[in-house]
Amino acid sequence: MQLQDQVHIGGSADMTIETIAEPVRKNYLNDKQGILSWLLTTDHKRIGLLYTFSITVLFFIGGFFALMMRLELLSPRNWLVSTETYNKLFTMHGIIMVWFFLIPSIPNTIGNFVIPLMIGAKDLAFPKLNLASWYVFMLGAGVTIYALFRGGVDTGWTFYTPFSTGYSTTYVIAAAMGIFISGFSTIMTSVNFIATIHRMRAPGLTWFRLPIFIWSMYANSVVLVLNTPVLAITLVMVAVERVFQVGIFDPALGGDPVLFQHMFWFYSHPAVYTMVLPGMAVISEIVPVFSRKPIFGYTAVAFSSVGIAVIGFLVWGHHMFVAGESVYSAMAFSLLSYFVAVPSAIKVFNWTATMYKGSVSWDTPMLYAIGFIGLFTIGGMTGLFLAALGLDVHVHDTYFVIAHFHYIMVGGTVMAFLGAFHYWWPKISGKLYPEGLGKLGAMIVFLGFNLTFFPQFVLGYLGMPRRYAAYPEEFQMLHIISTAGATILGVGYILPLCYLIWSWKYGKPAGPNPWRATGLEWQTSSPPPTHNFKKTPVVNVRAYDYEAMKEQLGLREREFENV
Amino acid sequence: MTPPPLTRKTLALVFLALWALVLGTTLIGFIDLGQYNIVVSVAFAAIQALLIALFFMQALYEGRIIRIIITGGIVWFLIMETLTLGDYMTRGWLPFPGK
Ligand SMILES: [Cu+2]
Repeated sequence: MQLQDQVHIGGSADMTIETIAEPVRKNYLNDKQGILSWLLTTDHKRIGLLYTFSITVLFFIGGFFALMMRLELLSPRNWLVSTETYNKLFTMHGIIMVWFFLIPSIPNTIGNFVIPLMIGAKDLAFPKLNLASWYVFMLGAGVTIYALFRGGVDTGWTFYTPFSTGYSTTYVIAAAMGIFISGFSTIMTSVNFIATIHRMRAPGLTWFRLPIFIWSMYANSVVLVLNTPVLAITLVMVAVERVFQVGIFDPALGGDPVLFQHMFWFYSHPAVYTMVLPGMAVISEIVPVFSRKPIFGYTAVAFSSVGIAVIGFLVWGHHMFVAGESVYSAMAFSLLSYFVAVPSAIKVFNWTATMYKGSVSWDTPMLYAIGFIGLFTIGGMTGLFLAALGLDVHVHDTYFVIAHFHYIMVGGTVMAFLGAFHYWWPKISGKLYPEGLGKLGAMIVFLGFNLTFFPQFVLGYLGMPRRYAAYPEEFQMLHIISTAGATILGVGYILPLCYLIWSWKYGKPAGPNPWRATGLEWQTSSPPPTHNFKKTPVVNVRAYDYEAMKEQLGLREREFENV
Repeated sequence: MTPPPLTRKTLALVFLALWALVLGTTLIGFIDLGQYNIVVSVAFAAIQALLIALFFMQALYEGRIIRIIITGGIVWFLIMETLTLGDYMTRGWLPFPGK
């Protein structure tokens, strides 16, 4: 009986034949036509694509600012932009990348698309709320872009007081308002995910049969619901003090500037985890498929997401070691910051153990996954350097910090984002992307990334401060290497964009399950029909049962070979 | 879901209680209780928040998951308060060198 059920879950080969036999199938893409059918859709898959489009545009805007900064830093002197403009460049780069790319990147695109499919649901729990979330996001992005066109902001993405409340003459309130609005969109999506995962799982899909992706996205949504309101109120307080001179952060008015940092980092440290947890969610899917093995230590990996979510809230003081924080408090935060490395390390070890003795194949998503594991490990380990009180005093506010968090966010999250799009592309578009170009793109991204950011560790350790437009001449060589790397990285990002769009029209049909993956999303046709499944699937096996699948497929393949 | 057994009378009573507490908070501002002023006003504010959560947000009539989530929110707020105040309260413990 047990084996029978597993045949049902892994029965991909039969389905492929069925799809080939049936040429044009109604799916979510061709079901309704016209621009309005997109703008008024409540289909989670279409909303996922709306988000993908918006986020891609914003990513390239943020990337453009990064490129401008890298060009400026080619020379020790100011040569390309004024120092004021440089301040605005790094601020807008940070704001757009953090709030309008990284935080919504994987959840609102891939998460939106695959969560209902993975749990065997027809849609999210609140489809209209999901659409509203996209409109709110677009409004927030619009307000931020407005601030940009009016002349930008120069506070840094962190809006530190007293500069942001008292001294900056740029469009602080407009930018803060844009972020404030986008926060509502984040909360809407998170509440939607939480409700969906609680209420809409297919019959038999118990918590411990869920793919790890769902666990991580669930933990991620909980964190966002708990921390986003704190950011919102903090930004409102900045605006209130800026406009009405109410003493909250300004000591002259009876406030305390470090209070801003407490509140900001209470949000923003967990926010770092909300940028990388979805990345971890993706890697936990990709590694088992391309190793043909169940994930090693399912329970540990599942609970490590919860662990990251909880401990991530206890460490924010590590951003304030040199900001006047008490020594005792700093010691406590330093120690707690070490603890958060434990669940992250559990994940890294378990992904590696999953690959061990697996039959690993080197398809593009797996290349991105392996890249993620390596770069995330470097980013995480250097995070421990920064958590160490004494060393942090030396490297605080230097390029060491910049390199550290770009290893997590670009080496981690962006790699996972690209990996996710390659992995689920056949499901999203119904087409295969060109595998050769995919691999080439992954290599270019990996090379460009390391060339850009590794020299920055060295720069920072040697004392190059962040947010400076000019620097002593001895740093120039490392800056030139970094800029060269950024150019390569740029090519690495444009290449997948081109061939993915190309394959949308010209790619070979993918069939329902090109990766021979377990998981409910691969059991429906590609692209899926509007309501995802012909009939509600029933689950009675654990996730990632590749051993059972291997046995069945192995039997078939052996028959094949003998012929 | 069944509508909560909230009568207009209950809602009106809670509403009045909230206003009474607002009045109380204002009046307390005029009396000098030393450091206890803050204790009393925070206590009043806490009672107000509790009333709003229990009755207006209907936490009293909700299921288990909703209650867990509300408790979670409060616990998280306390985490923020404890660790932030932990910083402020321990700042004077170590003398600055040379002072
Ligand atoms: Cu942090």
